[in-house]
Amino acid sequence: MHEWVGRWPDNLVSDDADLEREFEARLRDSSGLAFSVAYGVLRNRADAEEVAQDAFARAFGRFRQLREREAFRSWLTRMAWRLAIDRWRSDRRRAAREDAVAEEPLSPNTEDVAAARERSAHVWLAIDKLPEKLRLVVVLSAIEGHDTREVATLLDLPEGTVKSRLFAARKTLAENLRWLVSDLPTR
Amino acid sequence: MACQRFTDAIRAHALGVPLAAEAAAHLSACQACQSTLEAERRVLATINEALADVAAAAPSAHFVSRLRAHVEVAPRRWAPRRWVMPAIAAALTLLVVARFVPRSWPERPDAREASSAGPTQAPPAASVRPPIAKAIPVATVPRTRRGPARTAAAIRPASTPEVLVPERERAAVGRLFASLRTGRPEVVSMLMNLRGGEAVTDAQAVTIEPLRIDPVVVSQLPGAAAILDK
Repeated sequence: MHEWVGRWPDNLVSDDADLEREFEARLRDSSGLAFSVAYGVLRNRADAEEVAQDAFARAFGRFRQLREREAFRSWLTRMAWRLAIDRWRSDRRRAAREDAVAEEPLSPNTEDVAAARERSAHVWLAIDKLPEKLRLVVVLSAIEGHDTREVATLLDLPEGTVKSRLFAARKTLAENLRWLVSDLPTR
Repeated sequence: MACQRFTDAIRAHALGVPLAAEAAAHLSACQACQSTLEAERRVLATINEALADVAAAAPSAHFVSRLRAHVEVAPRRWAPRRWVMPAIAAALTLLVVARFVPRSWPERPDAREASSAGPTQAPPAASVRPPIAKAIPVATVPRTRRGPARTAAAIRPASTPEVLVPERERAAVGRLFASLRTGRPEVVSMLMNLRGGEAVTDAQAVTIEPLRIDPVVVSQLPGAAAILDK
């Protein structure tokens, strides 16, 4: 048996060390992205870090299966997004249970901070209610500095599709949040 | 905010859609529409402020090192690749051996006797068999890891099977049986079932005994001489 294994074609037995080196480079390059994507869903640093870690652990386990290594960031983005959404849904259920038991009000330092937090909370509530494909585009657009081309690359979508989704998302958000600024002082 | 004439166009304009000339002219003259545009821009600014939190959020200082440590202990799916293909090849080899070896086994002597005893069948003119090698002594089959219950159910304790192996296949069958010692009892079942559907007799002793060949009687058929003379 050993002789036979020794004759196995070299190209079928990949070099794990090379793969690990390549993955290490991807990790350095994309760890912030995974965190930001998760944070865009969870808005909690510790939770986002955990999700990013899980996403990387899964990516590491399946790295060999990824034929187009250049698509790694896109792959990782989708994985982090999916894991974060799963976490967010389970947290939402848990939060609903906890809220039913005891509802603790926020304790803001000042009125302005409290108002800003409240506005932000309403905005995120509206973002969370968006259809997922619109939501993902909105969050990635914010992460990538509104660079629609980069978002299109990450999502493996035509740039025009990203623009139309972004437009639809912002339009929906504006419609749902118009009431929020009706009593804001004009700047 | 009484004017509703270009409200949709003005709100779309806040999102970056260019205004038509007529709407632009109206907007420049209508205070209510200017208020609409301003309100819409404030809504969008509020949304952007909230989203800016995501862009500004940064992981903790040791995030990357923790991430690296987390990944290093994660299971690696590429590790088994080194043995998967050889293992598949070995399994296929076993299957091929198990599939073709029993075909070269001769009939059982008792079956031969039964078929030749029929009243309408003439006895064969001569019975010629391929040379059979010495039978391979095989040690007892190890008990399965799945426990004795399954083995006992699959094994009938009445008979002792024979394995008659041609010389050229002796080594292959020897390897096959040697593999049984490594705890692959299903191979035994497969091998034995291929041979006339018999069940394996006993997990403790699947023995391969030396071949016992009955004396071969060569005789002429009645009337054969007349046919041969023609």
